[in-house]
Amino acid sequence: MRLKIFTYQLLILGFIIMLWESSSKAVPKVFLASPTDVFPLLIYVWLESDIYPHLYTTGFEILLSFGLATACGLLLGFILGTWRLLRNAYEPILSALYAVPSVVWYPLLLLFLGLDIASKVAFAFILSFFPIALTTIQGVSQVDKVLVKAAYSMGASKLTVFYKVVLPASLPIILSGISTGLALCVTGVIVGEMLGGIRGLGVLIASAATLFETGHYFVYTIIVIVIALLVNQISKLFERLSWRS
Amino acid sequence: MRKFHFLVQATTFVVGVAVWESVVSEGYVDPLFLPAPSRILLSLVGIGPATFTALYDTLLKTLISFSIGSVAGVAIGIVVGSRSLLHEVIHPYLFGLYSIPRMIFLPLIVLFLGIGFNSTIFYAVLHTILPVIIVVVGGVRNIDRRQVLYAISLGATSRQIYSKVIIPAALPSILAALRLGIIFSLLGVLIAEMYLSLSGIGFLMQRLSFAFKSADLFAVTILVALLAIVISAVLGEISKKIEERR
Repeated sequence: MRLKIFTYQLLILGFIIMLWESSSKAVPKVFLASPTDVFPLLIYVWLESDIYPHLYTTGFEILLSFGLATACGLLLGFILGTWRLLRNAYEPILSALYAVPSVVWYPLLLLFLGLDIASKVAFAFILSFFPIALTTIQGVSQVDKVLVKAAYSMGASKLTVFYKVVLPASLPIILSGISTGLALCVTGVIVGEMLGGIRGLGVLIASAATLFETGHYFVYTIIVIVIALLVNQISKLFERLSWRS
Repeated sequence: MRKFHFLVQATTFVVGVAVWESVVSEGYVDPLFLPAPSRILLSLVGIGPATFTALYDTLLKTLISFSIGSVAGVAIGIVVGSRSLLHEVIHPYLFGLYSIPRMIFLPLIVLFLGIGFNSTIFYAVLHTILPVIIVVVGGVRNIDRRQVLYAISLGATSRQIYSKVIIPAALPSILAALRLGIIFSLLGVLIAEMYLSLSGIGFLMQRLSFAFKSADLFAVTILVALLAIVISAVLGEISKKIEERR
């Protein structure tokens, strides 16, 4: 069965590459760069061109926004999750804001923070902050109240209750929120860069497309896809961690 | 208790706006970047027909791409979710595609379809269809297998299994997928408009941003955000009603 599935998957991949190759023969080079052109170019770009500052910028933006969003999301989530009144007041506001299509905020951020990395970090922060905060609230507030009461009645301090009861019991849900947040950070940074920026892979993609450098556009796209899939694997790791605990 | 949290919300809002207003009027920040709330309110009241035309344009595109994307997405989701082998084969591709920032495909779409209505719709459909498929697949996979087995053993045809067992059982997740879908198609349309710089409210916002018309931009942003919140709340109520009825 596994072998059969794997074979089918390989067949699909082969079919996609063949379709790509044959359709790139049928249309002008400006529209589609063929795989046989793209892979040598990929190696060339990787070894010879000055892609590293862009890679570095994009990576830095992703890490910074993810770190900030995780820190703020967890902090707010724990406060609102444990404080009933604040949760009732603010959780509806948070989930309403989460329903707003995120890109709505981007022009404002561009205006406030300019074209450089700050606006991308802020945008990716907004994207990933909400799922992290909301799942943390949900995770903390679904902890069994009996456990908390039992711990208190045995003389545990607030801090002990938090570390020994609340945190372990809510961790699986929180980690799933963090993994969603991480994936959204990548999207946020790339979208932000493509809509207006100075450095980064999104900027490279947008400018290659504008200049009709289709080969380069494909190369940068493949690099972004690889990064996104890697990050996806990392966030799966987060979720697996939560299963163990 | 209920009144109390309204009090907290109202206090937060009033204090927030008051601090904002005074910070701007005392000159701590440049009103070019952060306009005072009173100035934003003025812009909000003064929103003209041009904005509404752009908003109508955007909503129309959203509705079209939502209709295409959600119908196709629900159909694909039900088929993929109910066939084990197909699901096993295809789900790494679906999740892989879902985890890639879809915007990187926008330039390619533009190359083929040109700048304009077609590429916007195509991109927004792409944006809508993936999350819809993934939520519906999850819902269909979660159905109790015994229900399907009973139906088969009672001699149900494959069509009956879909219409009488699978679709009703997966209805909550289908409704959730549709709610997610409309927000995703609005998001897709806005991204495409901002990138293509041609028409619609996304383009208008991008232009206001580059022209440093911060008060007007704030007003339009608030308008669109409120609209999205209202749409999602209304859909939430509708799906709650449908689920209560069953």
